[in-house]
Amino acid sequence: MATKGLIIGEQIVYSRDDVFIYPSKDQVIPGSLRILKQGNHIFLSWDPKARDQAARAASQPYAMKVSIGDLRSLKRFIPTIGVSHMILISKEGFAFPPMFFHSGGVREFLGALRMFATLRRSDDEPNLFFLSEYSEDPASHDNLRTSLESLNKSYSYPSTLDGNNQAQPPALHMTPDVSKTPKKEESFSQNLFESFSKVTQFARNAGQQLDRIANGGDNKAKTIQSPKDRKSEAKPEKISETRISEGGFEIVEEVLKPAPQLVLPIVQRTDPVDEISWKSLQDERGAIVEPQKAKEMIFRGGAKEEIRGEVWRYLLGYYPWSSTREERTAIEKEKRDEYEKWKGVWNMFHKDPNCKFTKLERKAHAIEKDVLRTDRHVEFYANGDAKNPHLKSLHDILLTYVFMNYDLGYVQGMNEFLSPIFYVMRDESAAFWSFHGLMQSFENNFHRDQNGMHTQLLQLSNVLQTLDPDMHAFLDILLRCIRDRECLNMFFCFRWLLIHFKREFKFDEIMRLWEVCWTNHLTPNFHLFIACSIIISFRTEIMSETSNFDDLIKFTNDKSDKIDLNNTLIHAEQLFVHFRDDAKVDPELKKSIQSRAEWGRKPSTAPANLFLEAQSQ
Amino acid sequence: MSSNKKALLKVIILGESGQDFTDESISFTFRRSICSRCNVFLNFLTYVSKKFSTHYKATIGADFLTKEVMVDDKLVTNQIWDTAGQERFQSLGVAFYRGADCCVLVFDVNVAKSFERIDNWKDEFLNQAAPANPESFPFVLIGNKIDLENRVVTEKRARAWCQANGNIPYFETSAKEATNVDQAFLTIAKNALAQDRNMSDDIKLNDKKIVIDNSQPADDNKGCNC
Repeated sequence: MATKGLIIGEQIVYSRDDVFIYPSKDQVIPGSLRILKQGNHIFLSWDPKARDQAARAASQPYAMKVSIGDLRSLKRFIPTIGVSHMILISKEGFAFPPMFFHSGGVREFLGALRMFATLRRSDDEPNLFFLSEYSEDPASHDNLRTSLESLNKSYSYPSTLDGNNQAQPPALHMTPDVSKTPKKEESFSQNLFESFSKVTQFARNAGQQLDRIANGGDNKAKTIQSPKDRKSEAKPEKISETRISEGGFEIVEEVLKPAPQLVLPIVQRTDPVDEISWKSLQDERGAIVEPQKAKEMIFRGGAKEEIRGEVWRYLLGYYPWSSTREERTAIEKEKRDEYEKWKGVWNMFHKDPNCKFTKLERKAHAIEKDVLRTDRHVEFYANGDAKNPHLKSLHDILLTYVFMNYDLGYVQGMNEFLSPIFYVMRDESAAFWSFHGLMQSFENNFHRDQNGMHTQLLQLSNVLQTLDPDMHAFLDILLRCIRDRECLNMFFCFRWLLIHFKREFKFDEIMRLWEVCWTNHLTPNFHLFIACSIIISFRTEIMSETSNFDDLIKFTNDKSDKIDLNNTLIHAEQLFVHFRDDAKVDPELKKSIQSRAEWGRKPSTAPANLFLEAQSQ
Repeated sequence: MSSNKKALLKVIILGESGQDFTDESISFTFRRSICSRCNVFLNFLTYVSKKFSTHYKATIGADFLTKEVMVDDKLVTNQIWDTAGQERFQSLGVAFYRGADCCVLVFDVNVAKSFERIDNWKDEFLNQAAPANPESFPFVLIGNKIDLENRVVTEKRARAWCQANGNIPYFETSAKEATNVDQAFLTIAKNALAQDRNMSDDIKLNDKKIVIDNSQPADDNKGCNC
């Protein structure tokens, strides 16, 4: 309603018909793209051109009008095969639906737009332009307009309306129902607001749009497939229908390829490994004969609770795989003594009123606060606040760890890892050393510079791009405005990666998920494929319901306890196998995903330094 | 007319995050031992869910809860955001503060330093969120843990600061229970709406271009200032 027709003082300075949008897979709406000038303000508008009443009703909500000053950027797509199109991004980060120029003219449009705004080409992407409005000096505008008019008279249609009379733009550019609703001056701002209320709708639809933008449309997408490849692939489940070609739209078919549906291998999960099958892996001295086989069994099914404590001791490096029963008993003893020694040292500082070791106290305090809010819904940790002996153990283990790795210190999230480990081990020393082993792998996640997290977010982004380029493109556009580093578009996955989905699954499920990951059976980065699996399985929801960063955070936080673990594990494995076997995936990326080097070991603080520091307090 | 008012308000809670030793004893109760920012978030949470939640966990990244309030006869949803408290994660703030409609500053009345840091938090927020009108951006100040014995920041001092900073509304809350939370919610919503209304008036009076979100920074062609 609000955007139909012209209002007082409004002039069309550019108009192009045959600009289409595709709000959903069965909807194709032709319309006109215009540049409007009103006073000193320049607007872009798109109005649907409806054939009949029904079409009009259906297409009207997509009419848009936006001030150039509210636009951040414009991305142009010029596919080799298919229709050129562009996407407008608001300053808010909303993506308007792609507009397809069926009779061409993107370049011309950009030319016209340059009369009213500066278009600065992105350094990284040649088809991305940042917009900024020219100064609001009326004189300069008039000059520009004059020059535009002289450039191409046919683009300028000074409006003739006044007061309550309806605009009469040239018939060529009129939509059939334009003359129905006279526009009143006082409703102007309201109209604008109404049209803006549609922005969200647009952004939502933009998701479905992006869904269907051809890979070829996005120069950055790496999985351009030949038609032959595409035929061999299964159709996507959720957006499976091929577009019905009508009239002259066949060419659209080429542009709107369905989202790539990967042909995923069949993988099977098994029952959790029980005590009998676990024992069968050991020789008569109790050593695991084939560690690879043991890891694979755990990867496929996880461990039953009865053997979990033992299995985790292996997975987290507390027991060497080759150790005999006898050796393990010796390890238990040796490690217990060592743990008690460390614990004794900080206790000495901590408990002695004469000792002024403020930095340690501060760290201890941070640990206390977090321990009191760690998995309190689990019965094991539920009762008695700090007097709960299990919470006390968590506290002591963390403080011992911090004392031993004083430079790293305590970082929120460590408690989340420790709690299930202690729950499984039920033994402070074993839990401590297992946690210590885990941290050797994950330590970089907790470093001050956050490099480990950034590396992983970037890896996640790269993997997602190979598995679901459309989803990647969607996030890319949605979150462009908050990107200052490449990985930021995956920022909503921060919590997932920092504490390995601890908040997304129930307590008993997370133990299963972790033991599967910790086998490193297929890859040390299986968690990245779990993240991809979750994103891809909720892709429709993400694309239709999120229009900004906050929505994505909400999405992430709302998914707690709502993700099916078994399906996720299966899907993640399928995605990994596909990734591994896909010849089109950049070998460098594969290499980085298969190595742990980038977020791997870092030597822990040497005890000598610690004592020096303690003395200097 | 209602279409030009926001029905959803994004509110950020900021404040000291863990340097508050009110008591070193590990047996100190949970609510007293967590930081004031979390405590206030917890008060909101308690108020929203009507029960003390033992499920409360340290925030990783960012989390938020929502509470609906009636302002005049309009239903408004307050979306209260808490971000990871540890300094290490503060670089994430940039992403999370965007589009905020109101900022709640929290300090512990028993810790002078937490009050002295309020100015920093305010500046930090304005820096990172870069709202359109920093001088009129709505803040709310909350003095927390008034139920403890060793109070060092008086109400008078807090109110004086509020006055000096453009009449920021001030509330005092307890570590134990969610007192004053409903008033805080209501004030947050009212002030943010008032801000929103002012912006709308600007549009009408000055025929300025449309503002989708009143907190967007002026664009410098390089993306936002995050």
